[in-house]
Amino acid sequence: MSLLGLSWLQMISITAVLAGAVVMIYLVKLKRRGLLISSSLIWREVLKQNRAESLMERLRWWISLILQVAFVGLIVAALAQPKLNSAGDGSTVVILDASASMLARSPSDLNRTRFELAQAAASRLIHSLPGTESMMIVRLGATNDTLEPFTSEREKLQSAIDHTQPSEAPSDINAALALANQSLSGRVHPKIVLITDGGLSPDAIAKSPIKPELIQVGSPVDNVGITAFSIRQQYVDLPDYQLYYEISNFGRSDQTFDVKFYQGDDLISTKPISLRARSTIQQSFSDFSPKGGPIRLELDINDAFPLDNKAFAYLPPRRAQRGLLVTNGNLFLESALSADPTVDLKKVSPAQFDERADYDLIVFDGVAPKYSGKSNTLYLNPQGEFSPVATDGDLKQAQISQYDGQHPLLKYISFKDLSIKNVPKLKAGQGDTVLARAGNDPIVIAREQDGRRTVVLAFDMKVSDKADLPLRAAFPILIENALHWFANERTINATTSPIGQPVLFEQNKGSKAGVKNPDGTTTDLATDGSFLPVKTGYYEIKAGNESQVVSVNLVSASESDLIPRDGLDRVTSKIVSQSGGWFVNPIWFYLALVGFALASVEWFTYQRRVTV
Amino acid sequence: MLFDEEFLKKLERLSIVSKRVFAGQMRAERRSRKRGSGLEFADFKQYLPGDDFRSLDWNAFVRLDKLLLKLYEEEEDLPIYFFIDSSRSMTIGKPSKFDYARRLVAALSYISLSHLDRVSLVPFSTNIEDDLPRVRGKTQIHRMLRFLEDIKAHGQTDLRQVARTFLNGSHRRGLVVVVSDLFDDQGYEDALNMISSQRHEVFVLQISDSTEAHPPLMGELRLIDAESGEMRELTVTPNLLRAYEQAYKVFCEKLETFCLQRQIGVLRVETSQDLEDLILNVFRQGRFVA
Repeated sequence: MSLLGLSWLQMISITAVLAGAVVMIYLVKLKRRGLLISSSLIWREVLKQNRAESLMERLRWWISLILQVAFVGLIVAALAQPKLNSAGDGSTVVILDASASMLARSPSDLNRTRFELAQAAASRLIHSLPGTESMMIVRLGATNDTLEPFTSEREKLQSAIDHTQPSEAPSDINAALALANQSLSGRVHPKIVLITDGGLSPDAIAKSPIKPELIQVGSPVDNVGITAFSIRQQYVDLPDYQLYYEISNFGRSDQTFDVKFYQGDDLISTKPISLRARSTIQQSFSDFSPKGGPIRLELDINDAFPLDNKAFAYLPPRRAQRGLLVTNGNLFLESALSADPTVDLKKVSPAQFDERADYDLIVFDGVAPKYSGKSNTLYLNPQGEFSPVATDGDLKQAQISQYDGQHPLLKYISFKDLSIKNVPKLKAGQGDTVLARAGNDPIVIAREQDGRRTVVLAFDMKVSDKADLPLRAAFPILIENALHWFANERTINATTSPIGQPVLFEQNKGSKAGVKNPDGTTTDLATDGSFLPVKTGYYEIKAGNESQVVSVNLVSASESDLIPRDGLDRVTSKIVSQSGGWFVNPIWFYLALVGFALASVEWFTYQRRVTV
Repeated sequence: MLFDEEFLKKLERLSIVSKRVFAGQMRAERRSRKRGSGLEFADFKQYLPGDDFRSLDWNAFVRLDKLLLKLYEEEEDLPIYFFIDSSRSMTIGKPSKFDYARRLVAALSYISLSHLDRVSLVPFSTNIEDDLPRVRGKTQIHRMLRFLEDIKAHGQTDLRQVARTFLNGSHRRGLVVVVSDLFDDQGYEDALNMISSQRHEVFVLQISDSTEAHPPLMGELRLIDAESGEMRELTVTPNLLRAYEQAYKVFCEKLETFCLQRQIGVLRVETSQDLEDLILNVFRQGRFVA
């Protein structure tokens, strides 16, 4: 035990002086009010009968005196600010959990967030820090930041604690412990204090060479949250999107609630869900409007952790494309193009084709008439002098041996066992990208020139002996990929990202890009085109004329589970559970509290004439 | 004027009740054992020479042929002794018990004088002070009032000594009305026993102030006994106050029990009571006056 406010000598001296003064006051004879009465006859009788009570009266006098002296002692002790000592000259790293689960608040914690409780616990540690010891504070969040390096200055440490904020991201305890151990290497009496809600993996903590002391804050509470969330195109039913989500109930009781789907500000659907205790449900949803825009999923439930009750996605708005199909007749191709509601398709025969036609996309089906316009073009089995690529004879029979599955045109497509016969051998020009080959011969060529995109496929989309692609699942996907690519749409899978993970934006070199955060502030992208989202919501990235919206979500079962993990006592040297109740203050606070309670008792009993 | 005319007229219609019949000295309005010239028929006796033949019953003579003399009750005065406590304990209260007692005695005396009773005022504290012996008739009321006004409160109560002094004097037996708060360290019992045993009829009017039954006291106090000057320091707590009130209640109950056992009339009078109401209603109900 040591004192922060006063020295021991000062405390004893002040207590002695004040207690002496109190005793003197008690010893000074009271000036009593004189009162003339008819006779003391009755009073004598009463006092004779109450002799036992007069003994009690003396006792009460002593009790009153003792209460007063105790009050003085407690107040002086509170002013002295006592604290419990730990081993001196040591170094302590305090790891303050600032992960998303620390934002949970519950009535059993007096509606304070776990992070606030953790801050209070850290403050107590700082307050009880002996002058000869130093402390370092590490914030455990999406990144592990050193809030304050080793110091003995309580003001600096307290300021660091006061000014830090919790993040909405999961934490990386391994990295934090590694940082703490590394910082403590070579120091005497090293100590790690982990202030957390207990949502950390015991196995990860067990790896720490220095066994951490644990201060556990927050009461275990039930919670329901979204633990998985993904949106992607639904290829079986182009061009819709499909949302996959997982909801987990980490509580000890069954829950019934609604799941609400919003597109923009419009509530587009509501699903009732009944979820048993400690269970998980996976579902999907696909009834989105092609207009795209922000998508939001919300759990209509009031629990301790609202952050995991929402998830966000963003669907890029589908641009309507004016398309022209130049064909002598191809039911498969016509159907595939018409299936996309964003394409306004017009069909002409090669004879009717106007060489200056201006469309968003022109598809030449087995023909290659003269074209001098600037539209994007898709050539299928081009023939003749106006073919965009040169040909060199025919391929009698071939199979596609290699293709670029990462290219937007060929994503999710398999050419396995696709038989190709009697197709022209294409010759790629300078600047052309060969996306698929049969042996060394290009089969699919893409070209980007002067803002115009051209794709040439060596085979057509007819069911013939040349190729049987229209009979394969790859056919509609290829058509849809082509439409997206021509429309210059980015893949939507990149629009959802987990919080705390860097998001990479493919920007043109030299262009400056900025990110508009969910709270409206703007930050610059890093030089590598990445940024680290620390809040859930929508991030709008702008680089020149290009822009992209990225939605960021907390989908973390470990953060949503608000019940401390089993086995923490095994991997830590001490567990101090600190809920948000009354016992979260320094010792002086309780001394003062008891002192004032004693004073109140004395005052009350005096007023009620019990101790007089 | 101590009392208004209307009240005095009402008082004149009252008389103090005496359960016993005492022998008076002078003719008055009270029955006595003596046969005399009163109005109430008492008995017959054989006429003897020398008797007042004006009382012969001529009707009886006609019927019985005997000379029978009608005897009448002699109506005599009643000696009433008002013992007025003039100790210092009577000075307490607003109005003081002493003032209230003097007004009460004045009213009762007026009643008695109106009925030609023989009234003696006996102020006392440690002993009997100068008394006003045996006044009779309404004409004496002013003298009596002056006497009452001149009494000063002082000294301690010693009822036993007072009784002893009184009984040693040559007083005719009569009604002794003790007007006192009865705060006597030696006790009132012996005194009342002594007076009662000498065949006086005793009636006790216990004068009390409302603050004696329920004293408004609390906290650190130094209580000063008005009679002895004795000081007692004490802390009055609710418990102690309750104990006092209980003790005072017991004190009053003991007095009533004591008086009841000895056929002594007793009435407790609080100084807050209206005097007119007290005499015209309370005393009537208590059969002290009729």
